[in-house]
Amino acid sequence: MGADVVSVEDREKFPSEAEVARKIKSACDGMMLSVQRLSRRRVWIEMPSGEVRAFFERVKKLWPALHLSTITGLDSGSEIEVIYHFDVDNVLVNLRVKLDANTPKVDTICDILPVSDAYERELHDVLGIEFAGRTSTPRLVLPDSWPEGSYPLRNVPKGDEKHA
Amino acid sequence: MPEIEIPVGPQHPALKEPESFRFEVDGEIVKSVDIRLGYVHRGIEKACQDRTWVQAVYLIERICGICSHSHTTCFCQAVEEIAGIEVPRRARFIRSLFGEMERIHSHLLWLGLAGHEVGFDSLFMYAWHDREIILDALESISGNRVNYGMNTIGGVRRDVTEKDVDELGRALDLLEERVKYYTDVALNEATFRSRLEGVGKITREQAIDLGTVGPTARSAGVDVDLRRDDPYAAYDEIPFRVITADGGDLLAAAVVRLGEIEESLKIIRYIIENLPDGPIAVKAPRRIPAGEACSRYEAPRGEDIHYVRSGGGDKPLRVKVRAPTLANINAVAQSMRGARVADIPIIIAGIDPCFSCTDRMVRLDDVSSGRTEVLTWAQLSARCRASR
Amino acid sequence: MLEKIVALSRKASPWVAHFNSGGCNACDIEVMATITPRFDVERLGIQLKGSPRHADILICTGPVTGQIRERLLRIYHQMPQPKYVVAVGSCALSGGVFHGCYNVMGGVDQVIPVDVYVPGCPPRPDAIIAGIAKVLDKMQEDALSKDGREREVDHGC
Ligand code: SF4
Repeated sequence: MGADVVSVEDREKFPSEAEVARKIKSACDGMMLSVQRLSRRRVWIEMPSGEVRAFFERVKKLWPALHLSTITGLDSGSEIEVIYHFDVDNVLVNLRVKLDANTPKVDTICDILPVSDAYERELHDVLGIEFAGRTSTPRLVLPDSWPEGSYPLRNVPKGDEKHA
Repeated sequence: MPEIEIPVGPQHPALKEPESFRFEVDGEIVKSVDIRLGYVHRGIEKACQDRTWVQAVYLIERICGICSHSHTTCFCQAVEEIAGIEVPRRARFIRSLFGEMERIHSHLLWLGLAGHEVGFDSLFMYAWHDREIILDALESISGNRVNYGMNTIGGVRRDVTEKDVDELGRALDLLEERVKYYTDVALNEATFRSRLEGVGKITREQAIDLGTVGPTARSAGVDVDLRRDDPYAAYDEIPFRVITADGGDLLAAAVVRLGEIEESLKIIRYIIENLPDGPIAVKAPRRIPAGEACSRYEAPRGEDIHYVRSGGGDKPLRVKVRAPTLANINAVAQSMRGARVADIPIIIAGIDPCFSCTDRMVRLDDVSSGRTEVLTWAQLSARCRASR
Repeated sequence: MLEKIVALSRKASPWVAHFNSGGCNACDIEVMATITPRFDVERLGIQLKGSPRHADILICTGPVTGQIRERLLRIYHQMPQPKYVVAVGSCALSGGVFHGCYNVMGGVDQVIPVDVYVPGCPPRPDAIIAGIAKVLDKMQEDALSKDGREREVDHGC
């Protein structure tokens, strides 16, 4: 079980957010889940990338009307972060997983939450993240003429910024 | 009867923006639809990383010309949260004021286009004529009709004067009357009704499953509105109703949008009557401390969400934008199945699509379709002529 | 002689096609606003047409994105001669705020020849109408000149 890093004051300051975090934790019992931060109507969670599918299966069971707002990807240098933003009980939960920068790969959640299809394909295009379990990840964002293997949102060394 | 493919777009009389749809039809009925966006993808998210925080605000304003205020407010809120900036109360009210004015102009624009798509061009002319009233008000306060440039990190850039309030009051009187008239038209005009009723229908369950947002979701009976559910700007102090309908069809969409205009008019009245005194902005630091935030905003078309990460420098590390149309596009594909060819334009117009927002990042491609040529309407007819 | 009359009468009622080449939509709604009652260009004989095949003037709004480049060329080729192009908005002029974005060509004139530039972000409908009026002058000039106007882009489509 991952350790939480939220202070007691924060828990008291944001009771409904803390409640959502608690519900998620108890639903995902046994996963390496750690609640990082609470703020007004926001919960920030982090977990290892391997358990994303199981996480969404359980959370979806708990809140069938869960609304996946979007998926963010970003290149923080040493690793690639993927953040799933979803809304439950009017609290926006941000689930972060960290991927290896050289071979970023995470399981798809397309079959659990069909809305994620477009978001996953977008990330595949701009950051080159592989979503395991998809039959294909066709090009989505970039023009057909964009060179293969070049990802506009990856950090590039200075002076190498111009793409074809 | 063999199935025929009809391509629509990227340049097509019924579409005001470049996007392309490919319909497989059997006779008059649409069997499946294949949507391609991406014609307006400019790469704004990357460009933000090369701009300073303040420059990025203006770039983000130009994600979309219709909901420009939505995007900037959403972005500024995220940055303010990271930097721990407390926005003055007057600035929050002015942000809400502009948000509602923008909603009115956007919904009137939609009403006009909907009228145009169903062949009711007088409504188009009427609605766009009355839209000028609100554009004039926007122009006299902000100096511009469409991209207002009101927001800045820490507040707003222009104050609302006594004179503006007077003018706005008069504009409201005029608009209130007109909106009553439009509601009457939408509900009682037989031609308009019969073109919208039962068209482009989605159920409440579908609306939830497909992740729809904004008026599209509300017209299917999903009670969501971030102004109430996740209040920002001054909405926690302003009383207002969330309008929902349960038809799920385009008539319901029209009813919801007209109801929202009415509500927005009331909100604006409340704001100009209760506008607090005080400064309109606080000074924001040039460098924003490291951190991240995620901000949401109820744009005229639905939930707009921005994720911003700062590394402590004078430029953002990452800005991610998800505009409402992307969330609603699935609903179009869904409600298109089984629809008649003649209803295609109005169904697309039904969600009030805004592809310049959507495309800043995304293009949808059907996995199954393989490679097919996209023709314009004109090319198609030329081809038909040639093969005869 | 007949050709001259045709060319001159074209000026009396030019047909306009509008194409968003990747802009932010603000310019598009201002272009649309020109046909609505406040500005009403139809009273001047100017008609907004759906198909480029019927149009004399193409209004382009947007910095031209990578994906749209080819479509823009195609639409330009579909227009009958003589054709005129109006670039509306700062970003159609030079890329504007999007200058330097990775998927942006930076201006309509990078792809097709442009006759009139209307600056502004977005320009007011009045300015757009003034831009179209400028094209009309050009039309007249071309109609009265000896060999009229024949022009075509050659970079491949
Ligand atoms: S010129 Fe400005 S307003 Fe017009 S499309 Fe470009 S960015 Fe938008």
